[in-house]
Amino acid sequence: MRLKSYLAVSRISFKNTLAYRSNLIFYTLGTLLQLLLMLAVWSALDKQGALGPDLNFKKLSTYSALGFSLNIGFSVFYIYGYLTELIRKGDLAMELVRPVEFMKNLLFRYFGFSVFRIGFLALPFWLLCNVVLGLQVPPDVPTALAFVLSIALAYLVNYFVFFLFALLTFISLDNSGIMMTFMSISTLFTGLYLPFWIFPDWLRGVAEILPFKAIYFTPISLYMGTMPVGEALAFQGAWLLALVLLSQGLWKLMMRRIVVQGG
Amino acid sequence: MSIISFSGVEKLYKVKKKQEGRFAGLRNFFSNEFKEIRAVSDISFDIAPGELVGYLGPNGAGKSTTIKMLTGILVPSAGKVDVAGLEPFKNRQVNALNIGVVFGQRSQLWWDLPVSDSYELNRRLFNIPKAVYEYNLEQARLELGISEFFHTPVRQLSLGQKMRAEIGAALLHDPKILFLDEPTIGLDVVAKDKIRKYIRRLNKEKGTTVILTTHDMTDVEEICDRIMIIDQGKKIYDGALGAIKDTYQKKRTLILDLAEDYRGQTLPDVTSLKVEEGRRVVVEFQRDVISAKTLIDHAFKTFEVRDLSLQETELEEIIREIYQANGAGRQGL
Repeated sequence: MRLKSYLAVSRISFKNTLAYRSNLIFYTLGTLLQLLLMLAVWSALDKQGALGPDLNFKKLSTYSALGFSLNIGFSVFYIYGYLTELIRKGDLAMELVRPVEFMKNLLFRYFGFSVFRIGFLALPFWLLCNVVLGLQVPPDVPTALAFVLSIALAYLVNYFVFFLFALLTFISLDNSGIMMTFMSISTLFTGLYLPFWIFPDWLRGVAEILPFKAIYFTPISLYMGTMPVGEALAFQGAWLLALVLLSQGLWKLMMRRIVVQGG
Repeated sequence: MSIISFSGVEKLYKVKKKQEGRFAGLRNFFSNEFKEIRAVSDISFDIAPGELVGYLGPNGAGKSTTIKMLTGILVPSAGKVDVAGLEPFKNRQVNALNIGVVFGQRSQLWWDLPVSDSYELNRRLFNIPKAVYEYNLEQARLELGISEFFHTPVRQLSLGQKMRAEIGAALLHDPKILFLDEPTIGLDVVAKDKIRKYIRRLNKEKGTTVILTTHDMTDVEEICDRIMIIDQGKKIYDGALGAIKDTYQKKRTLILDLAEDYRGQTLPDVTSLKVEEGRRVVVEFQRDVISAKTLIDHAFKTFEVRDLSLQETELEEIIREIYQANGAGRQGL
């Protein structure tokens, strides 16, 4: 199937997102509150001198502002919510009688949805943070360019992680409550709220090898110059490849076992 | 040469056995006990290009499972499925280009966007040539009457409008085969009529093969040439619509309105004769025992007849009898 056809999916998905723009604007305001809360914590720790010699308020506020900006662009639960609804209600049937590859179709749909969020919400949010907080900038131009690539990889890893979560809900557990708990815990390992720098050693050891790290901790560390560019991109690339293969395998398995619900 | 062929097809579902008693929920979660449900067992049929087939059966008979195997959504557990030369499950995407699908209880339209956006998406997804797209769109505008709501968001459409839009969308790419799974469910007579006429016209003009599942026997009578009936996963009838009538529609009813009071007269070879108020006589007879003409001749000689009418058994009743003869029909039509 041609790329042009898939881009048509992105386009209609973008249009559809506009129907929900007020929801999204309020979602962004909610994220702003979360950021303010984090900043209050960092500031309090800083004043007490509890941050240690390597960390300071500017570093941590840059980390959090960038993390939440990416979070707005990545739209966490979209894939999971959409896919589980599709399967639960049986509307998956309608998606399977179209001349498209399901996983790719969904990715382009997600992309159309993200365009609005990245362009009209995440980017202004990030610029605003920079103006108000006076954040850190990348050490040099090559790092800044590598950062853009790293965001793209993080975006894709995020997509496949949630795609897998949605499939696992149906294949192995059949219990979305447990899946949601698992998902919340995994958020800790993305580094969105807390940078790994302040993790105890044993927790950091676990966090360093899981794929969730590739979503927030890796691109932010790359941006701030605390992780070598090569290491960051290699980690993301390797996990992306693994997740794509895993998703494809699991999807095929599910298609063989699927019972499309309802008449 | 058939366009659809089903040979010895079976579909088994594995369903988790429900635990009962104490901590049932918890034990359900850890249970590995499965039971098998045979939704379709050993069904075979062939459908020629251009046939209009009504696929009937009580709720839960296996109709939707069959359609899902034909559209490539489900894998058959055994047997061979062939649709326009392809095995649907293995060639799902290519198969999708050959078929149009309307599930009465599902939608392929984007809920928050105007109908036109979903049509435009299909044009690109199915890579439909401009002339073909415009012709089919024009037909949908004229005959399904979608013009009036083409630019309205789908969520604002009535059920009938939505279904007309769905059918138009499923036919934009000129599919060879159209699957309609309960397309008229919940619709008013005008919407139903538009849809039936459109499908008939489409079949005549383009030779589109149509497989229709429905519980509405008027749909069947107005659209189909052939009917297949399944129940509990087995095919129990397959034949021309006319033939089913010849076979099963033996019982007829002659209603006579008399110009005088009934005086105990009788008619030969009838099943029953009942007298109703207002000088009305209701006569049931079997068409292979006595012809309507002979019976009416007798009636004119026996009674002073003011008016008469002849009633056939309705298709709905025939189908009900077939279901019941098979031990089904529990849920009715």
